[in-house]
Amino acid sequence: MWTEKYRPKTIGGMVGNEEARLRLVAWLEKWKPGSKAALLVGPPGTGKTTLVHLLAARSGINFVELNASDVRTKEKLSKKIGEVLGSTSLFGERTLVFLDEVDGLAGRADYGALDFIKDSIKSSENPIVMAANDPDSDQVKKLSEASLVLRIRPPPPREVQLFLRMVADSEGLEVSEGTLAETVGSAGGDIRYAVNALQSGAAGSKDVEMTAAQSINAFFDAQDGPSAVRALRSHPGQPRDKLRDLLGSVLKARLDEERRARALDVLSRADVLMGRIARGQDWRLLRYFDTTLAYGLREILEGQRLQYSQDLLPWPLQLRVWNDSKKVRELAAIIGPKLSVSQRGHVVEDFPYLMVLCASKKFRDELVRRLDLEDPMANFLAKEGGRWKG
Amino acid sequence: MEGLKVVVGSWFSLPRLGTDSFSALMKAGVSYEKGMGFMFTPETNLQNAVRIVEVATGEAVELSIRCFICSAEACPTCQFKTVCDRKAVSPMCLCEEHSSSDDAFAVYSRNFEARLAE
Repeated sequence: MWTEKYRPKTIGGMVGNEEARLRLVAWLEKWKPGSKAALLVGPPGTGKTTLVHLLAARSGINFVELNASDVRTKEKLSKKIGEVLGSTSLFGERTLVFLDEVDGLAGRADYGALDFIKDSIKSSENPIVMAANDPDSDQVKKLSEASLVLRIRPPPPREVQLFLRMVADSEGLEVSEGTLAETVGSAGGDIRYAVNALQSGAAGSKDVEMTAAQSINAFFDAQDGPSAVRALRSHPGQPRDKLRDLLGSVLKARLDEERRARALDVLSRADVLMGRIARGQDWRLLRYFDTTLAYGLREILEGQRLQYSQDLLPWPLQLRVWNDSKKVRELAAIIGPKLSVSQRGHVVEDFPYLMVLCASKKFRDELVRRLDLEDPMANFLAKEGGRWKG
Repeated sequence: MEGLKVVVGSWFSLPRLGTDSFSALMKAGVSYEKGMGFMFTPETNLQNAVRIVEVATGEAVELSIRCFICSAEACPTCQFKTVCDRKAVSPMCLCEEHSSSDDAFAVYSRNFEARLAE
């Protein structure tokens, strides 16, 4: 296979991500205990794993690799790499610890894996390098604080072409510029795919895998219906994740109310369709899900500028949450545990309804009494509840 | 919409955006210096940054990237200009001169190794 034959042997033999490669090498050369970890974030097929392997080979350092999504709890992680992190060899040689797919770690706090990694970064005797696919995942956000974050992206088409020409020349292959350009165009920045296509002489179209944000933004940017459907199909999540992302984006967008109501109606119908599919296990209907959603929403949102948003709070409420965030957090910290939900879950899902209920003085007084709230909080509830009166 | 040309790695100016858009740009990893303006860097989330600028200014952003070897703007003469999603690809490329010679790959690799040794 040419993909194996021409797999880069050195970091300088790769193409694309020049700045990130230079910074990663500099990071390892300067690393000492207490330094930050390195976190490579980018879509699959962009060479993150290859880059880390070549980094270890270049520096001659010992190397341990672990797919973090296979080892999801603190106990298992600790058992696998705890000893390596805390020690060097007899001769003081360090080990590069590579945790791949850290965005596959369980996000739940009680599993403790993320906190274990964050603590390990501070105390480790050895450099830790991590890789993740989704820049918008909670895991990446949390680990970013303790890491040098390097974005790894697909190389530009011209650099893919450069690599392919080198392969073609090395193989003595006569290939026209047009064919080469077609192969580059079909590869979507995936060098392995491009080299395979060159070898097989086939330049078929490749389904591009995107992050949730890229997929939703590509959907909003799509110039025609088929492109919009393709963008939604490239979403990495389940159908309900797509719905949630689209809902958040529609709620956050500056739309007139009539248009927003029609968009929400389309989302609601898609949700009903998904419910029917799941209840009846009639997965054949799933083929209509993206199409219904894409064409339905496009008609309504044509000419509007929307962007991906994870948050489900509409702007007016979000502004109030920011303004009163301290009080909201205090309230969420009191009520969340009583309802057995997280503080964020309470703010996002229950808070709007609680404020509506607080329009009733009787309810508000009872709430203040039962939760033993102090005057400032009682006044805050009265003010918020007052907005919903009438 | 009119166009706003932005070269990754170069300063550019924007009209006053308001606090929300400014903080969103900072969150997207855009650099800002008083007197210099804004700059998209290799660590900027270009997808988000471009969108924020477009929504805030009402102008389409035309993104351009530089040649890794000579720092010349690489996009104007590129045959892939219309198919290259410059918001998504890595933010350096090669200009016509440094991508078309017979030994272009060897020159590129040597140049990278030289930068590593610096």
